[in-house]
Amino acid sequence: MSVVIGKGEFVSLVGPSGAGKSTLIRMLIAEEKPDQGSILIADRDIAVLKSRELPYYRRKIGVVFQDFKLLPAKTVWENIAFALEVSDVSSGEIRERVPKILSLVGLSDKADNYPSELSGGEKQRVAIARAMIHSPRILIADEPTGNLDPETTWEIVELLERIGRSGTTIILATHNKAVVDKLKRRVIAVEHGRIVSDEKVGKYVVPSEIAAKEASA
Amino acid sequence: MSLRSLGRVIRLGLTNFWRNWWLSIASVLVMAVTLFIIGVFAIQTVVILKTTEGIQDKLDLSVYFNDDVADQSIQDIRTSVANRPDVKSVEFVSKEKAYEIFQQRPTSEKIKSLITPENNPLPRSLVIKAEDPSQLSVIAKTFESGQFEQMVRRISYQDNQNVVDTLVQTESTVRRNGIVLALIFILLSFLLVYNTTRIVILSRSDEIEIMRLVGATEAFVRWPFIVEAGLYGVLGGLLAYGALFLFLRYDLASAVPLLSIANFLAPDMQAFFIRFFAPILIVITMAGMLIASIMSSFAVRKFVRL
Repeated sequence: MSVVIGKGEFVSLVGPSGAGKSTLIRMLIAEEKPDQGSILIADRDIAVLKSRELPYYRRKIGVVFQDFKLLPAKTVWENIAFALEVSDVSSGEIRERVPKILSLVGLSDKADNYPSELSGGEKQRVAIARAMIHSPRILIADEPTGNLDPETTWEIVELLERIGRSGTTIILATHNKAVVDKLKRRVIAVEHGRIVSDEKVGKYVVPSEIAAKEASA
Repeated sequence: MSLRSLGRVIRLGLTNFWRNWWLSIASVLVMAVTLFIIGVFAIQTVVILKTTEGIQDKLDLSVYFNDDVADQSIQDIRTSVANRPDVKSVEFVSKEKAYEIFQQRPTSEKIKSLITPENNPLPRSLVIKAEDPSQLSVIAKTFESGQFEQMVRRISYQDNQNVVDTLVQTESTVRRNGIVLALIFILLSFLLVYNTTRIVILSRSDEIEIMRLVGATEAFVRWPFIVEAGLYGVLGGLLAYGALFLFLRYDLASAVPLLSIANFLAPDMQAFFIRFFAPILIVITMAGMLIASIMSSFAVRKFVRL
């Protein structure tokens, strides 16, 4: 597969489970290496990053997961500050940056709560805040709304759109049809490890529709 | 790693220690037991070596001369014996000196009064110490023949032969067993710490994954575990030290058949322990810290893939 995603784009990555979405995401965050080919981010091939270079690459991208991946023993504030602490950022700067990002995701009043005291939507907003704390150019969201009810889903999507408007490239992997259809953004459909469609203003496509399309063409 | 990160890594290690306090306590106890046993064997070995050294130093060969031998002849013999390479020292005991020694012996006054400086049947003698006490018999042999036969009244080393043999044998046995046992327990402690760290790491795989995802470097992920293990070692060392103190203070060695020699040497071990209070504490604690951090760094290397 070959795909080019431009700076500041908001791309939805769709396809059934096992289609290769997750593998693509894992390759983008350098968790997995491609068997062949390359992944260029800002003209740099991340497939050949050495293991000691990985941490520095990961500080430049933000990642959000379906299961949030928050540390249960740390408060909201500490979870976000943790990403800065491991990156050798000074305590003074941490005290400055964490409140800003908390207000961006609208959780200023929950700073001292533990993840277990938050709703699913709030947890995901903490995860997004943590992903954005390094001011990354790219935010990768792997099924961020998979565990959320429809109402909360829109909150999160709206937050992602807002982040996208500020110039951050957003790659959203999802199989939520309603979300994709409403976004009216570029949609890349993946199946069996191949790109089956790539449309500028796309809708969620199911494999049968593609098959029908191909038959008519 | 910057000083700031170092501080954070140490704090993280300490926090993790308290967060999993049950696992930490178990690890500390494991360290303590191991260090305690190593400590007992180490002290026992040192004390036995010191004791045999002391006893060996007391072993000597006395050659008593007939009263008709001239002083000068004895002095000549003394000089020639002192020149032998296997002889450590030769001391001449005159009649007067022999009398003094006799008076100091713990015998009854009645027997003591039998001998006076004027009427002194005690013989003159040469007291010979060998470089290697097991060689005393060889030295003694030279006095049993030839020119000496007429001069020597008695040679008193035979009494020592058994003691020398037993001591030499005990010492090498103790040294060998002590080293083997200490090695076994050190190996055991290595494996236990390794396994403990492995459990701690596996129980925190989620946390490690998150650290990696938010951009923590290898060192930042690994070092808190090593700090934590170091703490097991230090606390285990302190506990082992306290246990060692109680063990010796209340003579508990007798309760452990394996340590029967320790039992026999308990007072000496106690004295040794009290005399080297601080060094023993430092050695045990440092040993604990080293064992724990080395093994945990192995475990971390193996189980934390980045």
